[in-house]
Amino acid sequence: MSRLLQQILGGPHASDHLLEGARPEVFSGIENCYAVLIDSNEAGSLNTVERTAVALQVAALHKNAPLTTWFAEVLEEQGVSPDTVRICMSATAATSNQLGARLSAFLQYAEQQAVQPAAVHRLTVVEAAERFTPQEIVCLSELVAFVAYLARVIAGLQLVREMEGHP
Amino acid sequence: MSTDGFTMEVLRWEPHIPPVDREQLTPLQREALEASGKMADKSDYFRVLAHDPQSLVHRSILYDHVMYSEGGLGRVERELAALIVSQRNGCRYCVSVHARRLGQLTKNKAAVQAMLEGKLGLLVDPRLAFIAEVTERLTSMPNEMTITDLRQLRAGFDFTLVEYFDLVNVIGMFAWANRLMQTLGSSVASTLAVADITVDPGRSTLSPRDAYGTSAPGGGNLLVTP
Repeated sequence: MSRLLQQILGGPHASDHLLEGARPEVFSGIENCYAVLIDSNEAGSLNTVERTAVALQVAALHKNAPLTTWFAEVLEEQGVSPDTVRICMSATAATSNQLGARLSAFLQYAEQQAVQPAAVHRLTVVEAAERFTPQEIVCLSELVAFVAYLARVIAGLQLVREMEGHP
Repeated sequence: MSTDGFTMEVLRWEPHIPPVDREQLTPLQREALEASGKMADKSDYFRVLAHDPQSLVHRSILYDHVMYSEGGLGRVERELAALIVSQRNGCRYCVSVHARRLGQLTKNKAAVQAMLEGKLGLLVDPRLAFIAEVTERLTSMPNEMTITDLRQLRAGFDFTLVEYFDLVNVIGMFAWANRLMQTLGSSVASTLAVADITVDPGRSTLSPRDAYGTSAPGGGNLLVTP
């Protein structure tokens, strides 16, 4: 299993070898997507702290404990204060004035897309396009959707580990 | 068309932000579109995603592995899961694509139409019924499914770890694809025939594997009780 997923899940497990042997490209694909969507600091797009803050919010909205803990720790390692980390995890993150207009706007957009994608209105995206570049909007959308994917993979792998017993 | 607006008919997708101009692609955008399939540069959806080419190229590569890897979960089973996730998320465009694909693979459009009308609970094959139930739960309540639930649901037949991992990845991948489709644009009725265009939100064209189905076991019996 990829080192990233092992770290998020709290360490290796006996089932890792079987899955890694059967699906190595999926695991490397997940790591590559994580690298370009979370770890990236590409000019003209969201910076690493913004990406991690959004990822933390989406993980918290999914009530995924390992993923939430992971992103909270990464955000703190990036120098973000514990108070700000807590705000990003909370339901009021998108409306918090303490985060600044840019990050608040990202979190507001992310919250809608994460929880009720069918309800995201065209105007939401059009308004976002007045403030942010197309690259930022697409990056943000991909990031939110990737964490939604990751939350389900992590939840599924937790069940796999329970099925296969303790390491 | 079902009461939720789900259909097997071809739909169009209208973007909320302008797609990248085909005549002004950067080398990285061109590479990302090529990685997404031969029709990607003609697709508004993929050209919108090309605004962030790095994420597009890596997601396309991962999508291929999740949907088309050899062995493990069968092709029909993966398409069934994709359809169910998309229905649950209300993504009409994804539903139309994967309903058509499932109908083609199973040659049972009537059963697929029944699913569009919400009759998932009538799947006859216990393995497919298990896949449907797990898919529903991991889509809407990803952290509420327990190991007891899982063991009860799969009682009576084999379901390997790799098959389960494949299923979880399909479920996750369509949580991803649906969100992009629904956020960055809207689906509308199309006047095009099915043969003219079929854009898969993951890939931009049917791969050869789509045309010939899969040699992997587990196609299942896609029948619903009347």
